[in-house]
Amino acid sequence: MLPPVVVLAALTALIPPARTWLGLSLAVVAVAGLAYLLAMPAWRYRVHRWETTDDAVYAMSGWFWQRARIAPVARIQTVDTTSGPIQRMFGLAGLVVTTASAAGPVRIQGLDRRVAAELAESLAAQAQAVPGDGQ
Amino acid sequence: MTGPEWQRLDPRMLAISLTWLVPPVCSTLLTLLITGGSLDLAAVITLGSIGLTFLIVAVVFGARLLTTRFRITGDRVELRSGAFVRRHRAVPRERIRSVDVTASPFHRALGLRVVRISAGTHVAAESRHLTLDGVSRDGAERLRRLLAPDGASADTALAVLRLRWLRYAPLTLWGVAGVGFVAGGFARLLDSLRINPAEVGFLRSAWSGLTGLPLWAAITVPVLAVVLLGALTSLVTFAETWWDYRLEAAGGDALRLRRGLFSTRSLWLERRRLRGVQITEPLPLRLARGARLNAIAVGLGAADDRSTSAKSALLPPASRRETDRVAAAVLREEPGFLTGLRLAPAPRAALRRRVTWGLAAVALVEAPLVILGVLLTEVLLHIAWISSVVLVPVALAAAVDAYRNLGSALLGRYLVTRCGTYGRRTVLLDRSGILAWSVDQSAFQRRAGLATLVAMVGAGRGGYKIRDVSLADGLALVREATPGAFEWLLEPTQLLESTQLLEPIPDDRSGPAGDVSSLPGGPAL
Repeated sequence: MLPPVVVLAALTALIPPARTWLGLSLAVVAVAGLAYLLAMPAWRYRVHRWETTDDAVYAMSGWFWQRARIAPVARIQTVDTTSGPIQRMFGLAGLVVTTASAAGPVRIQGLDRRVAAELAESLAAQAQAVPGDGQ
Repeated sequence: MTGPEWQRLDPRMLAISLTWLVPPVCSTLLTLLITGGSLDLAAVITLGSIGLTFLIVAVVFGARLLTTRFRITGDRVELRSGAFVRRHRAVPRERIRSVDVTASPFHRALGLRVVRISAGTHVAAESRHLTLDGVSRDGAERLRRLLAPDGASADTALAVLRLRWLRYAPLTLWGVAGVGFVAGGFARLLDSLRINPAEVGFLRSAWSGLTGLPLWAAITVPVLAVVLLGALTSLVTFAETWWDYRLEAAGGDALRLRRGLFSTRSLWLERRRLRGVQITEPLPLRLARGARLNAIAVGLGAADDRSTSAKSALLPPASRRETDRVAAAVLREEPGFLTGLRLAPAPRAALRRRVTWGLAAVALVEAPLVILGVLLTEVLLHIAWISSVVLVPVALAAAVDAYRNLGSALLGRYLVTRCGTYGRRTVLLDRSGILAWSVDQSAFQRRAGLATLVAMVGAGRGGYKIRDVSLADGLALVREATPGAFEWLLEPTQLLESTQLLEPIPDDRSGPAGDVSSLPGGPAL
């Protein structure tokens, strides 16, 4: 969200002849960005949830577009944890559970790092215990 | 290293690398022909750089050829290649999903074949496909027999080429697009060679002939010419692609497809890799009661899910009856399996969504016209209302058609889903091949109590959508299609309560959206 606002603000300050139009687009972008910043994280946090059982992994994500994904443990192919620099700063990690489908994995994001690691380990063990690998 | 000897590709392939020099030679000759023998500096530079590029390509191709070795050991196929960067790739033989033998016209002239070995998604991406480009014809057949064990029993043809399918060929539109493509390429070539089209003899005479005609003829003649040329291109493409087409059951558990005039292709498809079929009816074909049939199979690749993909096509564009028959035979069902297929319709809210999309699309087109019309000139306003008189009915018709095409059902072992208006797709998915489910909802869909379900499979596109079903019906369909695996998580009450998939959850549980107490017993079959 920040880069376009900064760029537009710089342009508005530097190019006097186009100031009206640039300022107008700056206002539009800034207002939309602010609304997004205020609404999205809370909305997303309210939607996101996950659950694992002996048989299946379940994750729900999104905000305007929401997506609930369910994969049976018997179909799990790989279990990975991911965490980017910002996630690491907050001690968070994500879990990516793939099946043989190319339509995308089941993702659980923003877990406590320890929880994610434990979950990955137990899911991997479960997937190995159950026969069948998704094919 | 122990094991069998490393083998080289056929040395005749060096002749093939020379064919890279054909395009520059041809373009030079063509330029000389058009300009009558005189070349200016720009043309020399353009032609020279084209020639140099192709020469480099030919040399690299030849070097790779000479350095490529392959061998087949007891349990895997290995390929080593590369002059500067050595690559070593290996595919375990038990992972081999298909062995295709193809040949370009040049390959055929030299008695050579290309053997393409494909493995499933379990294998690392870079060795998913091994291509042995340049094996002798007998060698290719030997490799195919060795690697994809042939069913010994007699083959039975499921379909062979019928001449009456030719009439569907011009309805595929690619011909017309092809004419535009060739014309565009020609114009660019002339432009980059600094040749004025008006100075080219036959173009000038065509132009003066056209301008001599009355206006209506000057418009219809080129249109007719393009359409005719397009139809002709389609026919030629059809002949090249589908010549000698034959789909047969090889043994009990595999299918073999063979086709092609100049470059023959053969596809070997084990039935256990088959996850379903897709029947596509683009509008022109649908109006002529025709359809395309494609396989959804593991190892064919995601791009081959497209109905225009020749690789996964099981049948040329053919009549809907023929498509249904072959689809049933491929899936090993009764011949009348797909006749009278009845799908459960989508709720009315889906129609409202489609009408909204259609009108929004029209509004998006009209908005700039109206804004500019108010600001600048009234002419644009007239254009806006006249075009909307045409566009609004078209959008509404498309919306209604899209709504009527929506549907889903369970049919024996298969989950059936249909959607689309310009290209109507009917997908039959083997229920046992469904790996996971996704329930997608936008905020608008949640308000209307709708959801888009995605059945995820390990083949084709990866996920196949059931668009805009009512949430309760959709979950019932999921439970019925894949019993057991998703049972408890998809108990509607549990899903709703634990995830607030529907919001707001109606307190009395009798609202139309959250009506779980009176769940229907699944959609009509």
